[in-house]
Amino acid sequence: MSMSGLSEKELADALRRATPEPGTNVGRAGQVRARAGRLRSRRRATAAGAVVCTVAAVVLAVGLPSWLASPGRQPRAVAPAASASPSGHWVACSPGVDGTFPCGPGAVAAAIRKPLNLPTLAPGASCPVSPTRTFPHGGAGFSGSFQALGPGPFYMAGPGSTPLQLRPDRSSGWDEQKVIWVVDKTYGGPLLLRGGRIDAPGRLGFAHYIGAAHYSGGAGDGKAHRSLLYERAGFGADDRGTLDSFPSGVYIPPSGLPGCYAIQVDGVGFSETLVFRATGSPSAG
Amino acid sequence: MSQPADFDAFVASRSAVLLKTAWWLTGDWQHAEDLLQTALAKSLLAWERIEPGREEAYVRRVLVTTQATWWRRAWHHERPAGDVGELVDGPVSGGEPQTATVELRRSLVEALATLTSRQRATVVLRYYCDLSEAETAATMGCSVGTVKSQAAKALARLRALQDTALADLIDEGSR
Repeated sequence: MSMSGLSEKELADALRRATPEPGTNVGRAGQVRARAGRLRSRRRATAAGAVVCTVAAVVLAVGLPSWLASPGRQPRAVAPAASASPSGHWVACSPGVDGTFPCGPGAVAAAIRKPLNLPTLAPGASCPVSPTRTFPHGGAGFSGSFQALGPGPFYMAGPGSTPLQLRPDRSSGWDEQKVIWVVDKTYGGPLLLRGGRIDAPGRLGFAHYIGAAHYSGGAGDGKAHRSLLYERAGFGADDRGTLDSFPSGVYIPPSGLPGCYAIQVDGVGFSETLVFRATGSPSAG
Repeated sequence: MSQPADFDAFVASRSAVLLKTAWWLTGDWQHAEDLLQTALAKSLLAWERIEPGREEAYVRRVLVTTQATWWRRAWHHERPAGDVGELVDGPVSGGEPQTATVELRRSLVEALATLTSRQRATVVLRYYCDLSEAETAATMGCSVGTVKSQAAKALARLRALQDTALADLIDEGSR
């Protein structure tokens, strides 16, 4: 079957078959009530702000001409209304003294960014590959046991992650492999990913895929990004409730294979480095 | 008239179903949970005004309208990077059938991400929630004609993807 023949029934069947089961943390009426309370307060604040603005506009409209006519008088200051907080910046973005949240992706990245400090290898030294961990009960989209690379709480999982086997990507000109970033659910904060080759000069790129809030650069036909920012951990198909995941991909120029590479992951309160060997896929010929 | 006590029972009994709908609307659990909580919180504020028996339809409508609002915010705009290749079964993956389901799920999420918010909502409500065109129109607050045109555009766009990998995955499960 080709997509050109995709029927409504096939689409409906596929959607139902692929629907994941949510974790056990559903049905929390208490949390909903708390959020409803905040929502009510916010609406009141917004309504109050609207009243303040309306009054201020009326005062200005009525009083400004007379004030202009009396240069000795000063207008009264109007206090700014509190702004609603954007959701999604739980950890890195705190409200300022005026109650506003001046955070965008740039502010989140700046809050968690540490100096890029990738290890360097002497010529001929072996690649100090990070340890792998086995997750026997699945999660992060895997229904069975799987292994992931990294010391935690951040891990890299995917086919052939030890070493990472990349395949040519015709459109980008770089070699690539899909990977899944796995994050301990207890973290739940933003993540900044950067990386590079550590046994020789060389670049490494990331696929901006579902869930990434921001990315920078874009070599290889705009696909291989220098950095990825996730505003908070917790994307992906985690049916088990202990892990979060982000589908992504690693890009490396063909001239950089094989090689030893490192990825630095900065989060709130931690900075982690994953080291791995990367090779071309044997099946790629 | 519904009482707040009914709300707790409603949340306990219907959250899982609504969360799955939210998941298809957003494509990930965190946003889905956030969306559902927001929709439930908004609905709670109007709970006593909701016609008995229409609670789920009301919450579903708030889900769709809230998602549309979020989608318009700049920080929710995501551009798919395009084809990043297939996940090949390897020694670290789970069993074959489960991996195929995960892959189908990812491919569908990726395909839905190429649709507009309205088209995506139409697909989810019509083909996942199995609502009629009239119910979909009522949920989305538009006409039946709009639902038809949005569904047709969404299907055309999905077909135009020429994603043979997704087609194979769908085909595999229908055999």
